[in-house]
Amino acid sequence: MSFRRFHRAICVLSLVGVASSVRAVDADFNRDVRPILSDKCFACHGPDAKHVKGDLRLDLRESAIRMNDGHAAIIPGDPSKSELMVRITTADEGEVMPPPESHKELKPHEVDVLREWIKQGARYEQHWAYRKLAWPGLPTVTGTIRNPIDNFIQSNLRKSGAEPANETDRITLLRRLSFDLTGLPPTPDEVRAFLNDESIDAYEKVVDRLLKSPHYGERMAAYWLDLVRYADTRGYHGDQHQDVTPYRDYVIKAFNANTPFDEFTREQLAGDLLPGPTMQQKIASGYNKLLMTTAEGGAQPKEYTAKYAADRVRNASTVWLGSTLGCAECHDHKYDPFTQKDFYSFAAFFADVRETPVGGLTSVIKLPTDGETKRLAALGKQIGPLEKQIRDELAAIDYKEPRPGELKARVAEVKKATEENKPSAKEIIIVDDEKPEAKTIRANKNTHPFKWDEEKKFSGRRSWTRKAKGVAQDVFDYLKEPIHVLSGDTFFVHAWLDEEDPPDAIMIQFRSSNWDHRANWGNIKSIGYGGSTENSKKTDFGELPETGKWVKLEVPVNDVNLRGRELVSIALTLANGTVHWDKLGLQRTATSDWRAKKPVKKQKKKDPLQIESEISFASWDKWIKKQKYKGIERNVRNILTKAANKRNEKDAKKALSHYLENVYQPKRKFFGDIHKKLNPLKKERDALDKAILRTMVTETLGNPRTMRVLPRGNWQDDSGSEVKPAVPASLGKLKTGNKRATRLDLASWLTSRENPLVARVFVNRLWKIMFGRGLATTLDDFGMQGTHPSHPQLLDWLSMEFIASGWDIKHTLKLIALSHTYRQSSVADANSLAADPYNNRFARQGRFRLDAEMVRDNALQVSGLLVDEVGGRSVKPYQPEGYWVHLNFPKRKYAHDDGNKQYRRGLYTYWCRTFPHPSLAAFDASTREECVVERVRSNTPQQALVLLNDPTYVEAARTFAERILDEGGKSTTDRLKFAYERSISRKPRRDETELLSQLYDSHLKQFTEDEKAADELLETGLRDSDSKSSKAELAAWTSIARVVFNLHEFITRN
Amino acid sequence: MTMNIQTLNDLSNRRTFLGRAGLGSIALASLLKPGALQAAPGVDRWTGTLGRLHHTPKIKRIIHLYMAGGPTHLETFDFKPELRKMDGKGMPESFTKGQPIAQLQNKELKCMGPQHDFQHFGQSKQYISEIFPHIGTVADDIAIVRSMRTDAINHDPAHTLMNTGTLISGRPSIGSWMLYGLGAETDELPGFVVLSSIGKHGQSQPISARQWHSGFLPSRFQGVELRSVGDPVLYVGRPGGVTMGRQRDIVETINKLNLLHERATRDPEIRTRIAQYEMAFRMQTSVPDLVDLAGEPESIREMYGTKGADGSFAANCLLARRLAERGVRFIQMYHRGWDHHGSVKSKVAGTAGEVDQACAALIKDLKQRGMFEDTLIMWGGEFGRTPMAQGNGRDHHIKGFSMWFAGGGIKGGTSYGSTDELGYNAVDDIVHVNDLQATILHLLGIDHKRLTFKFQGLDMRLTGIAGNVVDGILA
Repeated sequence: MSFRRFHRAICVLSLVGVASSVRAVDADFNRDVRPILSDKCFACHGPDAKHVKGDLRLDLRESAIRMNDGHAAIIPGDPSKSELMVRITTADEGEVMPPPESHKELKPHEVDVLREWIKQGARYEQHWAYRKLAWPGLPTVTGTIRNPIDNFIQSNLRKSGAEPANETDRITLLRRLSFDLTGLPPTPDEVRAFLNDESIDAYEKVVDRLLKSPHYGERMAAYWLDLVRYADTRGYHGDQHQDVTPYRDYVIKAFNANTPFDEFTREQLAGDLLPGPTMQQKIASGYNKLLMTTAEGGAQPKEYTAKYAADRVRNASTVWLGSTLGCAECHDHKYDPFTQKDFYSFAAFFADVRETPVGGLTSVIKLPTDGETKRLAALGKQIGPLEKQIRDELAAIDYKEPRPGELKARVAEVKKATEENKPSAKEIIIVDDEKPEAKTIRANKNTHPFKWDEEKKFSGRRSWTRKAKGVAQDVFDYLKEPIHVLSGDTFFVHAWLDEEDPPDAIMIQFRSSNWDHRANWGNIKSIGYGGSTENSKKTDFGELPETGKWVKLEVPVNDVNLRGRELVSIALTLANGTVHWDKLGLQRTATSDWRAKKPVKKQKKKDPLQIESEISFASWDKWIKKQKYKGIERNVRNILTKAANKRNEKDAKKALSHYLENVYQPKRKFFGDIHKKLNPLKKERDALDKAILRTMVTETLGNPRTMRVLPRGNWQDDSGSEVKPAVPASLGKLKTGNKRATRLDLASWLTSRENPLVARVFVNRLWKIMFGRGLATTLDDFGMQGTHPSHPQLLDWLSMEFIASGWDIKHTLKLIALSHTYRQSSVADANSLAADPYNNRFARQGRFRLDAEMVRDNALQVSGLLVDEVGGRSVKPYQPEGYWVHLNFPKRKYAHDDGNKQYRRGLYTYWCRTFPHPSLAAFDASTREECVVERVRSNTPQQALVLLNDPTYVEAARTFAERILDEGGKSTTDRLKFAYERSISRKPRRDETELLSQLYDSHLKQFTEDEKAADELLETGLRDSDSKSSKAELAAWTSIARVVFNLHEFITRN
Repeated sequence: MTMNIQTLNDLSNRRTFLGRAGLGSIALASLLKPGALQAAPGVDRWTGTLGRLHHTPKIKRIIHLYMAGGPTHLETFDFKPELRKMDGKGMPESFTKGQPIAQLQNKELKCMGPQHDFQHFGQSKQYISEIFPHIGTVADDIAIVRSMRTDAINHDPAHTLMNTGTLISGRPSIGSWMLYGLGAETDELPGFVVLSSIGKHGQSQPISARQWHSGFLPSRFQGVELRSVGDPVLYVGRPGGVTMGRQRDIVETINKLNLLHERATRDPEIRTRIAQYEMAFRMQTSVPDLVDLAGEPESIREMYGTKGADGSFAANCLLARRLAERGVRFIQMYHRGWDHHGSVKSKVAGTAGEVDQACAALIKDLKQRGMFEDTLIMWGGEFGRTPMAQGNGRDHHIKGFSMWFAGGGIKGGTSYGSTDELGYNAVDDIVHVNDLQATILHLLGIDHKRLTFKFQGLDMRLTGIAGNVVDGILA
């Protein structure tokens, strides 16, 4: 809080001056009377004018006191003559009000309240939440007053003779404040520093430190995201993924930067409409897109457009107005002054939001990093010219359909060539006249190029020659078509050993998974490999063959342990001398055993149409159809599936270009060469593009959707009148003149001084964050059916302070944190518990279980596992197998994240609306389908199961165990002390130490005897351990850590 | 009293919420005696908000055989000879004009006759499709409603309406309402259990956990999935290397320390926490025992048509009986396989074959155990299918479809309500989904208008502002 600003507030207060003390009345209209009338009477005698019974409205004084035949529902000052009193006290079942079938019985004290109220004159007051905000007088009171908050709380307490609780101990205070402001526990160092800081503003310094922490924004965001129903999936039906994490990060940043709440409001509702919106403002406008949406086939757009409109009204009115405007979708509101027209007029503010009612998401923008932008540009520069080459070449081709004669000739030619080229039925040729296609073909040390010899040949046109000084070889490495070797096959090669220069030895080597398949002729020691002359992995094929003639060398595969394997490489080696090689291949006999390896696929005979396709587009068109368009990219397929004469010129050209570029034989090499360069670049570009962060934003339609009042909420009924954007009439009117009001006008109105609700609603929620309950306990309903605030003047004072400070959230939180009220102990003595069981008077602090995300964060933080990066994509912690089995369209498999992503704060967990993470859901995390202002806080066996068995907590426990052993001293007592201080910020008491020591001793013994069990326990989770401690010790301490992580105290903020 | 989130949280803080006072001593006893954790049931049983029921109940529990995807009524329980005569002809526009339609939007609408024949079954001569020979054998036990109506034409919202009574998300499902109102009859298992199986004939449409969510009610009332993959109940499996004995050591130490802390702080929530750990520990033994079907006699397994807990609908029916025996209040079994947009003839027969025998077996088995009289068995999906053809299948349809009911308080061997001659509109004795919900609560002894929870200023209830008890199917 800025000191100056605080003073200004005080000054305003003193100007307002009069300290109004609330008289103890039995029948205060707003506090006591209206709730009764609203709950028991308004459903039939309230604001829903169309359905009002007996022409009597009890929400309006003039209607209630109107005389009719000498009777009136209410005769001020005269309860006994008032028809209302008669009817609520009669025993006549036909007469009594409320009617029995409504099941709304009045309790005796409620009757008394109404009687007293009429007796006092039946004065009506404006509903407290709709009253214009003004500074209330500051009650004077003596006591532990740290700031005006305490004045309000303690003056109220005094009235009932109660006292505020004492300030709690420093450890509890720090722990409370750390959870409330950052969602994380304090570290032992922070505890120590605070305990040792004797300066007068020690506590204020802590408040400031925590408000400055980047984790403050995360903590506040976790609450805000429930309000705006932020999620990573769409919600309806297939519940597909949606990209919107940058919105979440915007919220975190906004809280951390202490963006004023009015600005925060404008940016989310209308960031896109701000003048020259920044990227952050556009991202913030994603708020309007966070609702549940559908892509279900068969869903009707009109129905969903209506659903979305209603959803936005429910959400915005609950988030900002704390009002149930959503209840006026089908009829006027039964309790609050909202008409059905108000509902649709409010919906009209959002009628300009671009959306696809059923189907893909719209307005998803990319947010590339600088690196991504640069790399994309670089790729573009390489891709562009290559694509241009293709375009130019395509433009240059003057394609003409070949005549039938040409096609026939082509087929005949190819068939003939195939026949001729066919190897002898049982021979697979690897080298003969041509080198095989292989990844590399090399001679050793690249000093001896491959050398054809057309003079000397055994078969075909040529052989090749290898001259060696020392060892030399020809390697055909990684054949493009590896050979499945069958039992009974025989490799062969024809060799001519030079008479003048015979080698010492020759060797054929084969590679499957390794090179250890060798056939050697001649001196077995001459050819070494791998730096040795180890012979055991060579098979001796005896003497060198005769020189000076062609000799066929044969290697039965069974002799070199190759049967059933896949041959990928082959090498011909010699030691010294000269050899001419020719026709290298594999002989397959009829007795080769096909079962030794799955049979090589028989080559199908080529369809003539396929052969024609090489030179004819028309034939290819038919061929592709015959192949059912298999493997054809979608946009080309969409053209080809139309009959040729039904295609428009542009499409026809596109299809032909595709053919020429990818199929047409005369240009295959040309385009193939470009593709070889282009394809990897495109692949990289596409992968990069896919990886770019995206987010949904709001884009405005020039022509907003027509919005009508839907009679009874029926989307098929167009008879209702058209409405333009407007705020609920009872709350005010926008001054936009003839101009259509926009979301920006709405946002500005919400945080204008005329609006009585928004500040009250929001500070009440800040109070809830700091105490576990609001000053008004119905955080989402400030209407007639909501509860009256326990301290209406304090609520108004805080609201005024909030506005006067410039909608400063940190300022308001700090005010609350500095009050004595906040610092009170949460331990209630029996009297105070009996007098005020629900803590309506705030004579003590609240005690409550941590929110789901904090339960997780706490364990990770204490163990040291927590990765405290702020923001980023959503992450996937461990999740039980099969939990997503009910998802479909598409089916999804949950793969948990590795590394740092496994240990992020709960708020970053991938939020799947239809199946929210079960570990968080067990602790009441919301599904983010609708606005949740207050989570229920249940206490269930599922929570116990999660803390006991979820690998997240077991892994955290074993990690904590290592820490205890490494840092916690030597004795068990010291270590237990360390464990307690680190986890719940205090020292264990003696009885606690005893219990834990017993468990430790017992488990240490057990894990010492059962080492396997210790191993298994310590293997839980991904994290590798480098601990030097013994397994048994670690496992036993893991047991202790598991106990600690399950303690009620560990998951409680008090 | 009217409950809302704050009062419920408050009450839970005060222990009055738990209704019983005996926890302390029992918990202490269990703490002093090692291994006594299993012996302390009943201490934290939520006995329901209602206290006294509104009238005498007919049933204690419900088994909902949820045929997800929208089973065609025209090939199952609602035979339409007129429709057969109209086969291939245009659907009269008087039926379809201005009506909501799903995938047949902007398509030509032609009638498609029933693809299967029907037979009279039982003494009551109930008219049921031949694809249900086994259900036919229990025809005298079931009441068929042929005049169901719903409001939502797509799966997800239609399921939401069927389960929560409204199209808006975030509201409690029927099982949660039951637990909130009545509590459960078991301390070893959750009171509301969900099982599911996937059919092989037709698309398996997704199902959201919203369908068994507790909405604005506390999550203790949420349905718990009993799964056939991984741990049968989420997180019920112990960590590696942790024997039952070691787990017990841990839980006992936790509870002892919590009890010490309770003495120091007088925080009433701690007692509840202790009780929850005891229940969690009991679940870790009771769940494996529950899903172990090996102990069931061969004859029983054959009767249902299952070999073991394999995730099939038949296995789930047998598990449902075991859950019912153990005091589970609401058992909901989704069979995801009824969305037959194409080839309805063969596919509906296929899906029927997956459920027929087990449905009948469940009824017979409950009868032979004397549990039929206090159990409601309900069979049906989220909507029906169009009399109009979608190719050789049928599209979603909400204006008329069929369900059946059996068990306590139900008039067996009856048919109730009807659709028009083409099976399009429910015309006689129309039963809206909210009426169905009112009837279910009625059977449980609850007036649906008086089981409420204050939320956003309204006394929320399962049936919204609608719902009439369907007397015609009640005995």
